[in-house]
Amino acid sequence: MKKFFYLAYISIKNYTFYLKDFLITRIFLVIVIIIFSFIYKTLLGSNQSYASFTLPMLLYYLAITESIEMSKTLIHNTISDEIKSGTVAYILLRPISYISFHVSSAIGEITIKQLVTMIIGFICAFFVSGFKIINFWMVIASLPVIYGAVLLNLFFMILIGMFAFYIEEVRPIYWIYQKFIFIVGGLFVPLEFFPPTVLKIFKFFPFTYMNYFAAKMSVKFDLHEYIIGFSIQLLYIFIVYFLSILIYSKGIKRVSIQGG
Amino acid sequence: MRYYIKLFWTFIKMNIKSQMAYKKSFFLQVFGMIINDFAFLVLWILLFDNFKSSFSSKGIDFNNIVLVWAIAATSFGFVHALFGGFRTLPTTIIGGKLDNFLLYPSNTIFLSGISYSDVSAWGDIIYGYIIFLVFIPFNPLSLFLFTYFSILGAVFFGSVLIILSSLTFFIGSSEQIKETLFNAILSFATYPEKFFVGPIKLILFTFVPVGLGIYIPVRIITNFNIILFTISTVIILLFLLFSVFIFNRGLKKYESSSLIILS
Amino acid sequence: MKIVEVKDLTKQFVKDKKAVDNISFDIEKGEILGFIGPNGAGKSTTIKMLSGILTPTYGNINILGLNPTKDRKKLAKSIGTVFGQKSQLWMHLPPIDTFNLLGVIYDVKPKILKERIDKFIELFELAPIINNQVRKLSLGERIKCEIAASLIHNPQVLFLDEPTIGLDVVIKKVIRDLILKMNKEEQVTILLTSHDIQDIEKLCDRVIIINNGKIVFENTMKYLKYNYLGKKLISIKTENNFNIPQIEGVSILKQKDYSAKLEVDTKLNSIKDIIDTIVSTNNVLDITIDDIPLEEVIGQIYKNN
Repeated sequence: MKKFFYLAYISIKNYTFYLKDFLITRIFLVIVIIIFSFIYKTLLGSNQSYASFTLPMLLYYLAITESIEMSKTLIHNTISDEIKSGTVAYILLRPISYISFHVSSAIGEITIKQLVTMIIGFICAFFVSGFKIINFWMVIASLPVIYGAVLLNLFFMILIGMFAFYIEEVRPIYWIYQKFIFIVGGLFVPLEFFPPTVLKIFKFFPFTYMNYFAAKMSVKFDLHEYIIGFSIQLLYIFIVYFLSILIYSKGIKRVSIQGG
Repeated sequence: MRYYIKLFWTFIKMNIKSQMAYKKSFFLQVFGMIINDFAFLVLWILLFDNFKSSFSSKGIDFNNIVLVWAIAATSFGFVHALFGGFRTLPTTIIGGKLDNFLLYPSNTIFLSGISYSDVSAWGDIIYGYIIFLVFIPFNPLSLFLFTYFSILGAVFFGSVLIILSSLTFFIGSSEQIKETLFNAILSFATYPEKFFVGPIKLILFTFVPVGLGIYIPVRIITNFNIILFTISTVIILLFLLFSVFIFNRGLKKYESSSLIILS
Repeated sequence: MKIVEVKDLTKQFVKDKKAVDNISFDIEKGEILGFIGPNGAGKSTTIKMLSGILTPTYGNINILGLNPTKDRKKLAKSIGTVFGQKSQLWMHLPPIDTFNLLGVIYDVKPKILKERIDKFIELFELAPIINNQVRKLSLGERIKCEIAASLIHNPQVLFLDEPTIGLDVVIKKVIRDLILKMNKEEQVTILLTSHDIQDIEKLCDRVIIINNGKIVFENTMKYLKYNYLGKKLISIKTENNFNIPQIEGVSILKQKDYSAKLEVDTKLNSIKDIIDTIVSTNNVLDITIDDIPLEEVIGQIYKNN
């Protein structure tokens, strides 16, 4: 366990070296919030809110969903490269160890990135909304589901990387996954903004329990929804984790037999 | 010059042939990108379904969204498929690969552009044409203008990439700055102009010049105007000349000190 | 006829240190000139200036009547380069595709291009691999293709910057033979940099030794060989106490009970005689024979100056 914490610590330390570059890339979040302030204003029209979301709430919502999205590391490429190059056959770790190694290497960096990005997003939302704030205690109460979303996303990306055992190019799978996050995951607008029939269908996907759920609880906290949603989120985390282990085990057998 | 046209086609063929050495990967990336781009359209369709009156009160109809996306996609696609090297230029400079190009008897910036092609960009081009032909009522003039401004838009994007990448000559790797600013322009480029009211409009026609590269072409395709057509063509070409000028200045600096100064 | 004329060439990147300090030399047509020196001596900087990708701080370079800085694109048509670490070949395509591409870049007429490619396929024995992906070629095959690629456009001057770096002994020989062949067949003038003394010995007519940006030696290969490269280092491990060989030309550098390091001068006695003497007076378990390292040769040259 200590090993894994140390790994996380090292990767955070590594990352502060690239602080300048990191901050420059956060400018993109500012751009997105500015762009969507105009979109939201158009959607709301002459109303103060839609589905109980006011303009400030929407902007803070966006800051949170984007902070999760923008704090990713391209771990699916890392794992894909390791599989394709045969490194996995070479090191032959147990599935849990291999996955845990990648999780602990990435989680430190991702967590810090998400936190800093979210704060920058909040500052931007504050200015763009006309100096309005939200109830920040909701954000604090929602931190578990925010990081649950982060973790679930990490596991999904690891799972995508695992497909390299079977497919030459995993990037298109990642693109499709990302698009599901964009739409079903409510990256740009809360799912309430979509036609209600669509919303019913989306609830069957795990993606609604990621960015959308975390951000919604942070601006519109509801204990009942929170408990149910968090449980489902944890369930999906275990399912995806288990699937990764399964695919890795099957895939590594293939690799070992064929000699890497 | 005939030489450069021949060089251009030869490099395109080489790039495609090189990519086709891995057929599965090639088609996966192209197809994946088409699906990827369609996802955004799905997003808009869902929103349009729910907010019809909000959009129409701003004067935005679905065709506006499609047209702006189509131009952005095909312009982006053309520059990345044919002159993909501009997107990777900071890395090329920092990695010393520029020397390879300097040793050839051809224009350096031209070579560094055509030497690399992004496979998935073909998907962006196909996508742009598909949605244009499906959603925009057919009209030979608008099809011509669409192609014309896709190419001009590619010139615009290329110039932006050249300028931002050339900063590497002066301040060291400008990879992050280039990516951030380019993605900013690209983001604005996929939303109809009518969304943006107020002082932001000024910025969109100056510092983040998406107005020049995308919005004005969209206006011209919707409502042909010979004056605007000429002016935008001239300005974009001037912008290209300016970007080449900046690159050459940077190149002079590079030639006098190689990579020693850059880090 | 002088193909390359260099006068007072200097390059200064930072204050107080000149990477290349006031060097002057010429290269005759058809000559193979070797440029040796340790790392950081200024070899690569010099070649970069000659090929036009680096501008001199001051000095004159004249290649085929052209100035590399001012007439770079024009000169590029007449020079070829093989820079050890930089590849011209496209990894995922067969080498023939890169050759054809270079034909277009250098504006070589299609008929001539085909003739030259066929010629190189024969000369370099590329027929079995010419249609294989470059990334699947062995290192030796790849280097052969790199050299062929550098000659597609029939350049008059060839710059080879560390062409054998990182290659094993067998491949090095293949490359050296190729370079000699090229020089004879194509009448190409060659400037070769290396810090491998074997390269220089086998290939060059004349040698320039550069150190700290300055020329410390300039003469024919014969002269260098005769005066400086006759010495060898011998390391020996013996079963019993080491007996000093009683023969002229042997000086002891280090000696322990069961091992020794000697410097022998083969001008005074042939290596055969020296080895015979050592072996006949010792029970040799292991023996290693090395050239004097280049740094020492240069040190020697400094001493003599």
